[in-house]
Amino acid sequence: MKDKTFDKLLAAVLILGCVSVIALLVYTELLRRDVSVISYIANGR
Amino acid sequence: MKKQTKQIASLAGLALMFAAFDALIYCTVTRRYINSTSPEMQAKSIEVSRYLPFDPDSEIVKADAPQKLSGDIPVIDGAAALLPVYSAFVHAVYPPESVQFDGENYTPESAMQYTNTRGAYQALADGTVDIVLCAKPSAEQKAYAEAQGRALIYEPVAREAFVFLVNKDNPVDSLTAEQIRAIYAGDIKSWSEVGGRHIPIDAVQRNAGSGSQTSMLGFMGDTPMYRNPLGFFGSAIGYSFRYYAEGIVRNGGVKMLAVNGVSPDPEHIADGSYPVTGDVLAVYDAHNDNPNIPVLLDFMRSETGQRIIAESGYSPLNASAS
Repeated sequence: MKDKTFDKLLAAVLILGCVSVIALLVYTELLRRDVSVISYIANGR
Repeated sequence: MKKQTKQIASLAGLALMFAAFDALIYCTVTRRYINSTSPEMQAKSIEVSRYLPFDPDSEIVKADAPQKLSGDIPVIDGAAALLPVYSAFVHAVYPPESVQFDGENYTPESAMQYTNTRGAYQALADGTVDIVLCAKPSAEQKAYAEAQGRALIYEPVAREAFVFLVNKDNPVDSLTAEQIRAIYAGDIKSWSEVGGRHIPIDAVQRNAGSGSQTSMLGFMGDTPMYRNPLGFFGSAIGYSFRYYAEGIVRNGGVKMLAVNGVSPDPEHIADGSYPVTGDVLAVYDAHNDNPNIPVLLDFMRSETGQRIIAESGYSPLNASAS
């Protein structure tokens, strides 16, 4: 694999990885706003 | 070839690292915030369509009064936990044509409304409803009503237990009232201090102005409430009214704690041995001269009214009605 290709793939994986983390955090925050106390307790330990 | 293998391994390793990080966030944080109830219940605290007063498939108790109200029909509203009860009262004494439901909400012209505790007390103060079924109002709700010139009258119509909830896997089954106060004051921070595991206690609270939050503030007295920021990594405790938790939400992932060794069963509420009970109140304005308000109150406290309360899962004022 050429170094240039590798760099492009590395950048793509990094970007996709960061996007997935941000998306998960946004989704979590949206859930947090509406969660009921009872669901929150039941989902825990 | 060797270089290419290293490059592919680097890319795969990086992708796996992100996947593992996402999985960690999901398992430790995201999963705890997923609601187990329907979107309607999330929005309104209850599935209103299950408790319509004149729907043949409604889950309310259906009893009939000797006579329906006529003339100026009082507009009734109340707490989510009490919707099954006051919907049953409406079924018994209101003329069916006085209630209109558009499929999602009661219309503004309807003599039955559902806006939950905060909305109901606001509507009572604003004069858009005549009577509400709720727990005691918060200090702010009382002050707002007084500022609107209302003189609220509180008539007990039933008894209900205030319950404390934990995860069903929590080994603790009972706490004393003092231990609960100490937990919510932040003096007890770990479940190990009350016979449980060595993990933090997450003492969750409700929204200000909700019936259960006002009741909890009353339970705490002058002691301010505290939530440990590290509690998220532990196991939670919360509170609600017994029937809301057990009869309406029905989430098998939680259990109710005994308080001072007494479980919040209907018989313990009725005989007064469960220590944290409160009145279910019918609240109205003393200046409201709607002649049907006393008639409706008399019905709520009548044998039929108290039977509706008992069969709806609450404790009647007179335990013998159950």
